[in-house]
Amino acid sequence: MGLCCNSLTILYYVQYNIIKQLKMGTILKLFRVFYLIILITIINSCTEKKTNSINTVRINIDISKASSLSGSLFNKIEITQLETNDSSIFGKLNYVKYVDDKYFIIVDNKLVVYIFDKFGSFVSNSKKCFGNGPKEYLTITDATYNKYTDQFDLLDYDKKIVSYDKKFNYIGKTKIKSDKVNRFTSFLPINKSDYILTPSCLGETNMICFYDTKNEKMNILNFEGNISKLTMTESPLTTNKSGFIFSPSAINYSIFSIDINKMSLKPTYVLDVMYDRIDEKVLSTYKSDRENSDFLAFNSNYVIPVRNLVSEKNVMSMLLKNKELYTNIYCIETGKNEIVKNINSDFTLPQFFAIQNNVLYALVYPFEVEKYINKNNLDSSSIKVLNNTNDELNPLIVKYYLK
Amino acid sequence: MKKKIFGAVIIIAIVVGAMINVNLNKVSNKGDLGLANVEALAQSEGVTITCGATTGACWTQSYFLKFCGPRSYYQCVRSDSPSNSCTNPC
Repeated sequence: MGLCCNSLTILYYVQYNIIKQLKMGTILKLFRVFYLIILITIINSCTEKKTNSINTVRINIDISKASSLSGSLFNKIEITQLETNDSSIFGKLNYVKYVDDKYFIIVDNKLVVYIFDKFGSFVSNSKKCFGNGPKEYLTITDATYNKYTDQFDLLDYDKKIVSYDKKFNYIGKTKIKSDKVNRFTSFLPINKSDYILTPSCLGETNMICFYDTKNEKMNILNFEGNISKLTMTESPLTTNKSGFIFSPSAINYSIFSIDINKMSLKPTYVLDVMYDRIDEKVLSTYKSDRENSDFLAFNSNYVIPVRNLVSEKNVMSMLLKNKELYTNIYCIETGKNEIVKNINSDFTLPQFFAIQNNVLYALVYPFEVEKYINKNNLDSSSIKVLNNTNDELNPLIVKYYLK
Repeated sequence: MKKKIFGAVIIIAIVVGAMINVNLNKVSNKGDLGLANVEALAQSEGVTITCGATTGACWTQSYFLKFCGPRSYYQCVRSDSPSNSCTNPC
């Protein structure tokens, strides 16, 4: 940018002197105005770029300093039992998300959606909507609560958004018209009619799409930094009080904030793992995405971020190195960082699926309690929940309060 | 006449400046997967293959790494090819 401004200034003086020597008075005046306007435009663009770079926070992660996991990472742990009855009991978990501090959305391995409120009470399930009919869905890749319409939206594999009310009564289907992207994996409503979508991992993953359902218009935005398609990110698109967050479903050391008005991305956090960062020359020796992914997942010594969760207070990053998982907690307010190894001899950190303020959320089956919950962190009400749970019941929602 | 030339120069300058600006903030809009749509029932060499709703035919390994006890595996993802098949081990 600076080079561009300098070149323009030199060019200005050279041309200015030539015109001056030719004694072309009027052209000289016009010439000055012309360059002035171009310079102002460029300086304006320079200023905007500078502001962007200031707002990017670098999180320095030194995995060699990872401490052994202990209960001291958390103030307390709270447990909520997900209600269990004939309608609410679900099969093997496919994925879970916590939306707008209001609903837990669970999709099981049969792609049935189960909704629970924030207290674990069952709201409804989508069993009756599963099928080939016009008001039904067959294969979904994502499900979410749309706070703008107060509906539940399901992202159908066949490029449709199917909407239901809280009782899973059919409301409508919206076809996503896009020639450039064949399939979508996840989505997020940003107002009553617009969504952000991410493409399937089987195609290009270095893009996000803004879709206006009213005008059937799609804007595709490419971003940089994806190193491998390997990931453990279930929900790349999330919101918190600061705005819309995008953490790519791919190995990428950046976490982006989304400006929905400008339809742009800005790297808000950059994970700096220093000497453990992937050497991209090594990756270039792998011929396919699968070989690249296998290498990083099972054979590499590099530190790779596989899942990030961002609240207005903390950034949680799950990192993979040598087939072992680590968790880094970055406090936004103080800039302090704490990294722990996920497993120690006493207990293991679960794979968190959401973060709100300073609370990390995990879903733990009753038979996994001993593995994932340090009972020293439990209060009396949580101990009561724990004493009443058994293997026949739905899993537990476990809230880990960060210090 | 001078005013007209002056106005024209200002317009050209704004256009040139805007072009430089657009170039600096360029956002690529490329992206073409070029994959064909298929229905739930896909025809392959005269044999009708019913795509699985959750796994099985038409599904393939994704890049999503899952852990299942000491084992790790790639979760299945729906694909457009009926020749693919995938089941999740856990």
